[in-house]
Amino acid sequence: MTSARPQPANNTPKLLGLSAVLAVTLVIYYYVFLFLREGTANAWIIFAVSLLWGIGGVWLLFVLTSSIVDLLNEKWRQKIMPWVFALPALAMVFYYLLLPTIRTIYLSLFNDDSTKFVGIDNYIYAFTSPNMLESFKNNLVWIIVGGGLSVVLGLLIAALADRTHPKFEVLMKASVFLPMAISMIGAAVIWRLVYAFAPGTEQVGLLNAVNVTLGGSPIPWLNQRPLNTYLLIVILIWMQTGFALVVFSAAIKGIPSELLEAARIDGASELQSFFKITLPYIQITVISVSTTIVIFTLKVFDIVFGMTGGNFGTQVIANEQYVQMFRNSDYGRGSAIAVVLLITVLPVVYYNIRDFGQNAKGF
Amino acid sequence: MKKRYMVLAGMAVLPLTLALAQGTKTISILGAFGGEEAKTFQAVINAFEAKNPGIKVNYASSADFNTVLNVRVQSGDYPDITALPQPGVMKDLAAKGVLAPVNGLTLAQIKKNYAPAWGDLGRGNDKKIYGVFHRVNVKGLVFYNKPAFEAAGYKVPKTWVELQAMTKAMESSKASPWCVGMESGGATGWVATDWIENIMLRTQPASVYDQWITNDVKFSSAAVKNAFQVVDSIWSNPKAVYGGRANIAATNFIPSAQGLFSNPTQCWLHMQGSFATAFMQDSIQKNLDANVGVFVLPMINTKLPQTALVGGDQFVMFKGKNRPEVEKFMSFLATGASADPWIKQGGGLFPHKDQNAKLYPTKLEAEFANAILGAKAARFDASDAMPSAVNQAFWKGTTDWVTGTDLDTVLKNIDAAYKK
Repeated sequence: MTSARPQPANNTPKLLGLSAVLAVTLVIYYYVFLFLREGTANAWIIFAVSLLWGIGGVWLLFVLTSSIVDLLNEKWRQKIMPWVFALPALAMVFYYLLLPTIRTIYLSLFNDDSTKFVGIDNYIYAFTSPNMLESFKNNLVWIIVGGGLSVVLGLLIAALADRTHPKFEVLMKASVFLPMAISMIGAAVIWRLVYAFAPGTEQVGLLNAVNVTLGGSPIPWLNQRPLNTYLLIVILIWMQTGFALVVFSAAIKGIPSELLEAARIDGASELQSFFKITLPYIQITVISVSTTIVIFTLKVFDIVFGMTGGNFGTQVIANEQYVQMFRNSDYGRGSAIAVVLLITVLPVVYYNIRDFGQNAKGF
Repeated sequence: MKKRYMVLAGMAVLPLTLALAQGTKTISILGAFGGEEAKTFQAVINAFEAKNPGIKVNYASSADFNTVLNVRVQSGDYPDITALPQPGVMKDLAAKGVLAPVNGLTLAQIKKNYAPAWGDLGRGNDKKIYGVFHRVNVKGLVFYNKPAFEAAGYKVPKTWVELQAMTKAMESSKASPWCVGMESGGATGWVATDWIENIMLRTQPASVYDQWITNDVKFSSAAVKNAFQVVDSIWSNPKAVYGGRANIAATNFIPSAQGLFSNPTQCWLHMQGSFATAFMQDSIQKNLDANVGVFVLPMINTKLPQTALVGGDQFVMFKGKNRPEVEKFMSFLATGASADPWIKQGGGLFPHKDQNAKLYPTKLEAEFANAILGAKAARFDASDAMPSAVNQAFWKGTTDWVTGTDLDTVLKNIDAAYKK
């Protein structure tokens, strides 16, 4: 090993000096942070100062640490330098993802204001309370009906659109994909108008207007159990089919035409070639899309929150967690439900990532 | 190297400039009311700022107030003052030790300007006064369309029996006797809990009502169950409620107040708090006195004294935030001078004895204010005084009950929300 840099005989004093500067800088940063946080000046001035201070601060930290590392000998420099670059990103993942997860698990073992250890009481609540049992049941319906139909419809439309005129196909896919551009809560507002109800003959709600025109009497749709959960799932399907469609469509386009032609020459029917060639060929895509949508349905919150607030038997796990944590300020139960949700989602996430890994060799 | 030192010098200068830019003394307030009400509150703030130059008051509101407050308390990022609509939340916060009790000056103002009951409602479990009540409301009022009501020859009922006879007669008219709507987003249920509370105060002594709040009288007890059944006798009668029971949970509370004046008229009567006038059609609000009549829901058990059901926002200070200017604002809120700017603009009632009641823009509001000032006995909205988890369970329970869950299950579930 030949080093380009000449190594000074002894740079320990310099090293200690720089380390001391680094320590002092960190202390100053902490106090400036407190000062900025408590600041009462105009918010825009604080914003501008914080921004400049932040950029300058990161630069200074980097200069200091890299000068310290530069003083080390070649062997240690090689080992430590990558960490100087990676550490900020790792620290953020730790602080914003790992730490909250650990804290949530910790809080789930304590009472509502986190002052008394209660063991697994909150988990007993999470698996036995009527609200949670209702949520588990509803989430299962969301996964099976919502996730299932989104995937099946997406696949069906993708396969059929593939056989139509290209211009029609674009139009078709665009119109199915369009709802993806709307936020969940926006969709909830739109669909509130579809399901709106008023007694009497004049109806604002689309569904009831149709119903009354056909001679029926208006129905408060969102209060009809168990129908209301399915009506909420329709919104999810409306939004997620577009996502499934676009991914499936791209995958179907990737099937070599020779394969399908060969099948046809061998006398395979359309259905046979779909199930024997198209589907196996895009299998991995189907699994990725399905798992993504399953994760999505497990975490479903906005639609229920915006439409029924979890009332009328439509509660789901994520909304129950929100209610316990933020409305009832029961941090124990809220955290326990969050942990349960995390554990439910984890296997699916693992499956999803592992699958992508096989596909893209990313993991 | 020179560049480096320039950057370093720049960084040193930045916080210094900011230190110089520190503004006047500011007070931050977080509250649940927004929109028009926040604008009116600004008039109160302006009155304070005019008297106290150098102090600036910033009011911020959130539609999801309870959530925002909870998160800020949990993270220690307190505002200076917050306006709490629920005494239960005040007691929780005070017990957690995050509130500061009011100081001597404010205490003296409260003693001087309020009926003792309002001071007591601001007390935490440790008997110290934390809350200063400002804008309040009175519940259990029955609104009616004055011209139509009088044209049809109806008289304001003085007893529960008279009320029942009148609603029976109304059933055969084109409009239903009652309009009820309880949909209110994440807060769906409060209209129903208000009904139950009003019936409780009309069938049970106030002492039972107090024990009900602390769960010494259970939801599954005969007294509470009876209140649900009285409400049920009205709501389950398809002729008595516009649209029938199914309509109650599906209709928002605001349009349900408009049913009195809609064309065709949907109903004769609407029970709600004094704030319901703000939900009525603009054309009606322009001339409330000519259009809107009101009477207090009569007592069912006539042996009991009439007790008013009230609600309202109390302002509390956070611990460590009781700077002199914050204390000053709190004591200002305890005087009639802080009520007058809002009274003048309308839409608010105040419990201050030294308020200028002549400023109320409508006779209706003056009447409401009189009812509050003159009430011999008053009780706060029970659900708001219960622990927040119970309040939630109560809201959800009534909503389930209205949409078909059986009463015993509902009452058992609400009782279960009281833990420990």
